[in-house]
Amino acid sequence: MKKSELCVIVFMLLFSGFFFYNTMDLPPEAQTYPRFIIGLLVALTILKLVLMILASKKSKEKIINDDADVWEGLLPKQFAVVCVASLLYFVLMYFFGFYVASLAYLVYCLHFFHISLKYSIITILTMLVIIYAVFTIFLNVPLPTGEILSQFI
Amino acid sequence: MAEGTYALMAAGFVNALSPTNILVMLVSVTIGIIIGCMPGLSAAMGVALLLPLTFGMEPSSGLIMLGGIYCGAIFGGSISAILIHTPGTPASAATALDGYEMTLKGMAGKALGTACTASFFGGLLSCISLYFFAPPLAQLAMKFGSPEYFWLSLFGLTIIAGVTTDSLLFGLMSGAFGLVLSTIGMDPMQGVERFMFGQDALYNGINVTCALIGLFSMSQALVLGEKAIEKRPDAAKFHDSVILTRQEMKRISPTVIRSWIIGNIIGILPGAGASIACFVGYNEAKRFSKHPEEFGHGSMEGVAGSEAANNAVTGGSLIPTLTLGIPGESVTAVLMGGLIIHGLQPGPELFTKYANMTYTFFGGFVIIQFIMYALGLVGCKAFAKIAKVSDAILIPCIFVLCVVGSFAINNSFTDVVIMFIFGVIGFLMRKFKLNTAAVVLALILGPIGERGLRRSLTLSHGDISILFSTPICIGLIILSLLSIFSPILMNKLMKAKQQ
Repeated sequence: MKKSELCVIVFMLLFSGFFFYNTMDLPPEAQTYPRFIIGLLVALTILKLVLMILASKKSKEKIINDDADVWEGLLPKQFAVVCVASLLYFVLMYFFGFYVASLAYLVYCLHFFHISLKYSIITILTMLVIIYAVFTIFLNVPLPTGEILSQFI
Repeated sequence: MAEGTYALMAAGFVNALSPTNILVMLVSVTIGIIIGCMPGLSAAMGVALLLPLTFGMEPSSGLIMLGGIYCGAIFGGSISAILIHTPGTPASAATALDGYEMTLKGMAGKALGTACTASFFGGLLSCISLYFFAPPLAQLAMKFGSPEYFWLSLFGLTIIAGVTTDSLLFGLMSGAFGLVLSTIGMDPMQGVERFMFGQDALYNGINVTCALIGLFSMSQALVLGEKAIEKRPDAAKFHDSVILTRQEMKRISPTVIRSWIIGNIIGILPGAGASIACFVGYNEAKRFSKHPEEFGHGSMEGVAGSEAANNAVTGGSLIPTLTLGIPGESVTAVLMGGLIIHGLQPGPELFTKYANMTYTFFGGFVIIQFIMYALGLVGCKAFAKIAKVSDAILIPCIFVLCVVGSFAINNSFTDVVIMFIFGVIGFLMRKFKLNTAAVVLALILGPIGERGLRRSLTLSHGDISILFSTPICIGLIILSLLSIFSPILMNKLMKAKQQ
């Protein structure tokens, strides 16, 4: 029985439980279909669990820690930076708008990955020009100007 | 075929030749080839990422754009497979076997020419089946009522969940997980809020485009961002001609025709896709070849067999997608999402009410093959250089495009948040070997299945026998059961054979 598979089972059961709990607020007629689907998910999850238990009894193996396989090659620091930078990008966009946030995000990420100045400038300019041409001019999308910058524009 | 259909075909072809559509095709095929030749990026990711670009276009032009990216990406994978021994997409994995050997022998130009020619003919011939098989299948769909649609949605889910995952149960669980998510939003019959958690933006349910961008594009950026950035090898330089001689064309012709048939059948079968077709095409090319000893050492037929088959999948896989709403693989699931975004539902209406639009798309799909051929022959050297772009540059660029694309759907920040959540879900699903394509399909098919089931039960006053009342229902139930149990039976047979 692999630890990763057990994690999926636990997640699916918690997820089903959470949605089942939320069906209680619904009128009876509206409860039937979601409960049918949730029941299907629970049934499949339990079937998987039973098969896993039977297989582990047969092979006389307990829970196998397969973290190394699941997270093979993971660079925790780099991944954390990518994730945090992406989250900060959202926050920056909310306050300073899309273009300023994108510029800051691209500059930071390209610098973090040690991309040369020449290629960084080419990438940033290409991206911003393409987005401006396609989304602002062609699609006429009012990209966020940001809470702070919108007071000055 | 009715005379009116021929007129529609001709009109569609003329419409597809409009300057706007030609420009759309040029741009989309170029983007597709670039995405395809970059190892790590997939056709589904490209189509999902560029889906928002089609919002400002006519539906037919938008679909042509998505089709161009799809075909371009499937072909583009062969460039990096041949020149740097790294398939750009899984669909070109078999091409790398002989393509790179040809490069080592100083025949990179010939290998690229073979890939280009075989892809062109594979794609072009697949359009024939698209033209001739899609309308009759759509007519069959006209006989579908509510119970049939319920079973059809279940069949679609079972087949994609069963074939594209290592574990059948994990695939089915992914589908059921997606079905639960598809119930978020307003109840279609009772009109009450379901699992909206106070978010008005969820009134119409989870936006499928946001989910697509998150599951296929943002999760890809996260996958690229977790590992060490590897320097890509330099593409081999070549000086031989990419144009094939008449003798070379004659040599690969039987292989191309065989692979076209193989690719088409695999494409039409829901669940299988270009990555399977390339290996089947390659193996059959080897089996029928007069020089099987050349395979693995730089055989032109090997490259042709793989490339014709994977491109023949494109037209074939559109048949069940457009007629029954069952995508053959993840990229066609994304394409179907594009169709729905433009307010079109797969099924008979595409060949009646929206026939003009559909045949314009078909016409465009034919012209795309010619553009892909020309661009491939002329630009393969330039594309090979682009394939060297580092993942370090791609990661932030993909992320920015995901954000702007999801925002552009409704000019809403909530959509960006939904995209982000699905990006994380997609990343974790890939890590834990769950099936992202099944989730997307469940989000698309879930509401169709729910309407089918609830309308059927309303019509029959709660009698569930209505779900088993027609031969089509029985046929779909048998097909669903087959799609669930056939992988298990196949596994047992394989094990028995090995023993």
